[in-house]
Amino acid sequence: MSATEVLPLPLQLFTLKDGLVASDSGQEAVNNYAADFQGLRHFGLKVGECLELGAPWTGTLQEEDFTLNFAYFDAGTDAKDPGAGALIGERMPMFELLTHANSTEE
Amino acid sequence: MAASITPSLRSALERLKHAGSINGMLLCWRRQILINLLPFEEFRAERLLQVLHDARAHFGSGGDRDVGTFWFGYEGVFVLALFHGECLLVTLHTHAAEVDFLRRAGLTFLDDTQLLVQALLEPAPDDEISRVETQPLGDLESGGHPPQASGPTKVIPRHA
Repeated sequence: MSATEVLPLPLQLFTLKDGLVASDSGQEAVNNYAADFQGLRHFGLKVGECLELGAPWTGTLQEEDFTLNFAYFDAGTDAKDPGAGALIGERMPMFELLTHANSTEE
Repeated sequence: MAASITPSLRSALERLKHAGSINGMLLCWRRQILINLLPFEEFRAERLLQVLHDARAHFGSGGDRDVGTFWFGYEGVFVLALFHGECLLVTLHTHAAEVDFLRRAGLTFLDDTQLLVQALLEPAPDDEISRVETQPLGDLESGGHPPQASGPTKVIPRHA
């Protein structure tokens, strides 16, 4: 492996509680995740408004080499409800990443 | 626009709609709806299209990100949005576990129908010309001779 080759982001897990994002992955990772999470949730709400589906309980975005998601536990979808999120630097199956996020509830 | 959709494109999308637990689909090109198979009014589909494009533009505004897939889960239904080239395919489905299968099926559909979408958006001018310049078959049937070709014509005799 060459020195200039960048390693893909490993799987990182985040918790959502009282409107705050927390993680063991460090402050920079939390800041980056929080920005994507807020954007994703905002557009999830907009999509829900369009189709009268309400607020999303989960959302995922995927790029060529990046996957990020969030999921609220139980029936809560408010910004302060408990939930979790995950990201990884690869195109991971979305259902599998949702399972990872949900597993942090236990 | 919807009325002029080629039957094959619509039928291909309707076949895909029978996959998995799909209960609605929307096919778009840029910010224009091509086929709406959603169980919602047209204006809702148009708003959905704008919101999804806005979402993609939001994440791509830094210039180095290209979000190709959004997937949202609501009470009883999921919304999967796939961007591919200038097309967008939105799928409503009910089983979360099917999302990765539906993503692959949707991208295959978008790959396979690029030519149909292109033909729909830019009808080839050759089609109109060839219709006008084609010699009607009636002349030949009533004893007329085929036009002389510059080169030799291959005739395969048919024996009884």
